[in-house]
Amino acid sequence: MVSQAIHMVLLNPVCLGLIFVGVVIGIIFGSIPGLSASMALILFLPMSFGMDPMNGISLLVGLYMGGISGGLISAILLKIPGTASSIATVFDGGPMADKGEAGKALGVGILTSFVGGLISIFALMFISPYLAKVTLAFTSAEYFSIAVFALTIISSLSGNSLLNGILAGLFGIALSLVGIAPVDGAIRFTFGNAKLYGGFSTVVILIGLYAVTDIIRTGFERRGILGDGSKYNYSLKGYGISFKDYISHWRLIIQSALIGLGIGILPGIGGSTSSLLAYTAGKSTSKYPEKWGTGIEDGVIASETSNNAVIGGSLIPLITMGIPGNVATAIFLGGLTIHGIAPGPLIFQKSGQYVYGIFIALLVANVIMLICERAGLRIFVKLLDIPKYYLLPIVLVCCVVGAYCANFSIFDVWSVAVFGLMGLLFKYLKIPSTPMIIGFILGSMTEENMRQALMQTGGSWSIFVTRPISLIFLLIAVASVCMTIRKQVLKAKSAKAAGAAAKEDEAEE
Amino acid sequence: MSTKKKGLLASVLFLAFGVFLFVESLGVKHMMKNDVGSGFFPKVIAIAIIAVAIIRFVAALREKESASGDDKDDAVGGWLTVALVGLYVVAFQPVGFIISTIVYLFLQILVLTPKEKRNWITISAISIVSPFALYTLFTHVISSPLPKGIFGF
Repeated sequence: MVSQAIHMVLLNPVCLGLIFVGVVIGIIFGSIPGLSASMALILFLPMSFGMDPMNGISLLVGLYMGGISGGLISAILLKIPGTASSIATVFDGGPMADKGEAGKALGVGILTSFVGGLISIFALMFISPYLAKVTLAFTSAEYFSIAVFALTIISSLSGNSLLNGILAGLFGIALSLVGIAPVDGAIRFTFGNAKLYGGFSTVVILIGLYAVTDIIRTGFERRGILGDGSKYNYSLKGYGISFKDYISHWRLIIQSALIGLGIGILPGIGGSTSSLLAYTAGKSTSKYPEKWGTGIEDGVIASETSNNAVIGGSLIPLITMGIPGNVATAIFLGGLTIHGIAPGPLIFQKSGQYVYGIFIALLVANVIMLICERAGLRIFVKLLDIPKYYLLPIVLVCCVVGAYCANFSIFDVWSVAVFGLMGLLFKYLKIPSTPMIIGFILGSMTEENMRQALMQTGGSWSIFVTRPISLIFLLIAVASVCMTIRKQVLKAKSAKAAGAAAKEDEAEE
Repeated sequence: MSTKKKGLLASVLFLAFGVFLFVESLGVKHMMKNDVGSGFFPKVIAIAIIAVAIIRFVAALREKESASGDDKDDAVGGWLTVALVGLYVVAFQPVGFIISTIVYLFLQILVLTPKEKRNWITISAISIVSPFALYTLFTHVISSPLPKGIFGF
């Protein structure tokens, strides 16, 4: 199987070319604020449908890798993170640019992105086969509980409001109910429209919520479209840091990579949290925390190592259980299923060559990223100057074409616009959209496994709490909800106290 | 709109959706004997939505009025964009990909570009070249046909 995978990826020039194209386009989308890694993945997902499975998946792998790695360019040179994953890179990358060390910050960022990615890919390669063996023993009861666990974590962790997150997650589940039901095949919620028998397609919802919504939002914010326009100059030799200097940060590198990996494995937390968390952890374990934020390479290393380490981590639950933890892996799942590759414990037996192919594609993409982002840096920096008011309309056209080409259905094109408007309403009402998309994907998994488990027991719900693994996941789900509620109550209390204190101050004055 | 009003609006919308989902679930037929049926899970989700929406409503009532920051929004630019996207997807098939895209791109770029940056030649060039480039890419390289429309191209 491994040799088959090598043939399909390493010895296949088309596949290597697609990984290269993916990485380059990913870096461009990642680096330009307003375009995102998810947008790049969504745009190319319909195109990958028509390709040979391994080629299509490799293209997505390249886009994911490039998209996450491109964000550091604008984080350092514009002080605006190109993607949410690079938020913490601004903290020290920005001040480094102020000091005239923009080149060094870029070099270190690219190098450490590679190392973070590499560590997580190795983790993926070693953990997932074992995890797949463990999940082999899982029955529908366990899958139901894992889905519930994933849904609660996602709802409670995305956005500021727990309730809005839960509502979004539930709404996503509701959308997944449309069409032919699992188990008995009943047709429901189609309102007589035959186009809805198959339910909504993930691609359509993703394009609507993540591309169309963002572009319409730009219309509402068009006064800010020019940005402040100041871009730092940089000069850079090699990667701006000697091997010895870089390795002297080994503790920070490993710590940040592990944080990224862990965050990647847990559903719903995503790259932005991982980079912030790794930055905070790095600062608090540093010998010189006072220097953090003044422009030291440590900050860039913490942030950029961890956000790339999310990549390998997030693919672990996707490959072994079919659970996507973020938007990027949700898109990946779409790419895998369309080619008949079903993620889950049996994936190593049934589609082993593709799994090993993904591993190899990831390694190749990581190396291409390391070389291309450095070698093409000048070009990527130039591309930051392309005005968004030219780019975004073209991206929208590509989205519409993508939606049309996935099924050659004009109904999908209209649906994309409708979901775009819905996303707009959600943004306006401050309802996060990530729980919705994950809810949509996990909804059918939850229902199917629940019904299958109940059929086995003749309708007794005790199965979900008598099977130990199922019980553990349900308990963690309950605990995570309780903790979030507690946190929110405390936050509300402290806000109230602060408000009262402020009023007292005013009265005293 | 203040964040409080947004919270109230969101909870009312979800409440209505939850009730709608519940009512619709009642009509789903029960087909297999030892199964809970395809209407069961939707009912659970509907009840959950209704319950959370009510909690959200109460929580919103107790919130203080605070500005949500969207008064900075450029309503003209936003709604023009919404209208253009809407017209574009409606015209996509009947008018055909190339013509609808040229018109859409031209108007959309015009809406988004600040007045002092408007360069008619660049805008026209982008709106005309990109549809043809995409059309060639999709029909000849990826071989997925795009709508030809009334004019046959």
